[in-house]
Amino acid sequence: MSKKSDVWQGTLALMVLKTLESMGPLHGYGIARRIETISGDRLSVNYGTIYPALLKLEQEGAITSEWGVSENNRKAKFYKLTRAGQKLADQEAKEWQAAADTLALFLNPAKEQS
Amino acid sequence: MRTLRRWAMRVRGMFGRGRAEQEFAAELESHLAMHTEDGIRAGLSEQEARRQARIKLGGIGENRELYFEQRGLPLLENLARDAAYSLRLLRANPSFTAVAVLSLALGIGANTAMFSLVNAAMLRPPPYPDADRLLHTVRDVNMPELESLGHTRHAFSDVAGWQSGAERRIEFQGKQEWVTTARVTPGFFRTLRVPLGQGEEFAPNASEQTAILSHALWHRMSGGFGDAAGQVVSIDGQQYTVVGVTAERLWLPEKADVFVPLRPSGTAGDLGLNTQVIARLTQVAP
Repeated sequence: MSKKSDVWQGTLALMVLKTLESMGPLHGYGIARRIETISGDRLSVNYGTIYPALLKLEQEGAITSEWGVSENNRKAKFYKLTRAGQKLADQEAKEWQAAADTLALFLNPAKEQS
Repeated sequence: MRTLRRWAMRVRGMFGRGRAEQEFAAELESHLAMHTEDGIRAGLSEQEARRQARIKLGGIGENRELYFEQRGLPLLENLARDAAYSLRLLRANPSFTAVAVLSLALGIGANTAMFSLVNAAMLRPPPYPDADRLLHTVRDVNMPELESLGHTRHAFSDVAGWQSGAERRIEFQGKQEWVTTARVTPGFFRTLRVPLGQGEEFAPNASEQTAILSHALWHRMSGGFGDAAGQVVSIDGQQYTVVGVTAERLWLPEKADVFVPLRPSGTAGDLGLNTQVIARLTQVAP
């Protein structure tokens, strides 16, 4: 059983953006649930930490919020990706990928020799 | 740009806290409700589902704290809260507050007064050209000492003496005034490099009954018209011929309105240590 580690702020923001990108507008509970599902139990999100992260993204203009109705007819606050948010998600994803690729060179040195 | 917008939003976030708290509480409540529903659908009892939802959400207090820290500027908000608290305390202890305020007022007042004095007297350079080459005696000298200083031309290019005089009554064309007088050696104004507004300085052999008036005094007595040179004024009943008027902007450490010549009188009074000396250092060729 893999160890459940805490999610830290920067990656959480990117995960939120990517989730909204693929799922469309969603409420805080849904986003947190989806992140946990995608990460396949590797991450344990204290659901409460989603809300400051959502607020920060909203302050930056990457997402907007609006009260709406959920699938079960329950009132909930929905979050939507903005155009700036989409750009931000693409940019951050690229940076993370580049970082991961560079690190991979160090973690698997044998592969270089062939 | 993102950061800028975020900080602007945080400033805005300091206001409307009451409504924001209501809205956030509603959001958390809806979150718990949805999570509980999912739990019930998975087969748990309502009580158990709700309990698990609560645990998974984390501490309500902690969540609120983190959320509102992000929303506003906690530093400023804390500062404001502390200030309000201090004010309440002060109001509840009026006697203590009075003593504290009084002490502060006295301290600040005394400091300001002292600084203003020192600033005017010492820190600001005197408003004469090349003031850093002017010297002023630490103690008063007597006439023989003044004389010998005048002979040190290799050190000082100009040496001037000053004695503050008594208050006298001056009269001119019907106008009368009480004025402060001073006795200065010939070349006093030249030493300061402040040219006279009118007329000439005392010549070395000038008569004792000559005077130089301050610009303000001359203006008051004559309306500012005409040449002062040659006019006769009466000081304490004695006639003096005016030879000059000082420049309009002349600042002296001791104010004087009337200047008369200073020279050794040849009496024992000359030995009194009552003369201040202002000297100008000789310019050293670079």
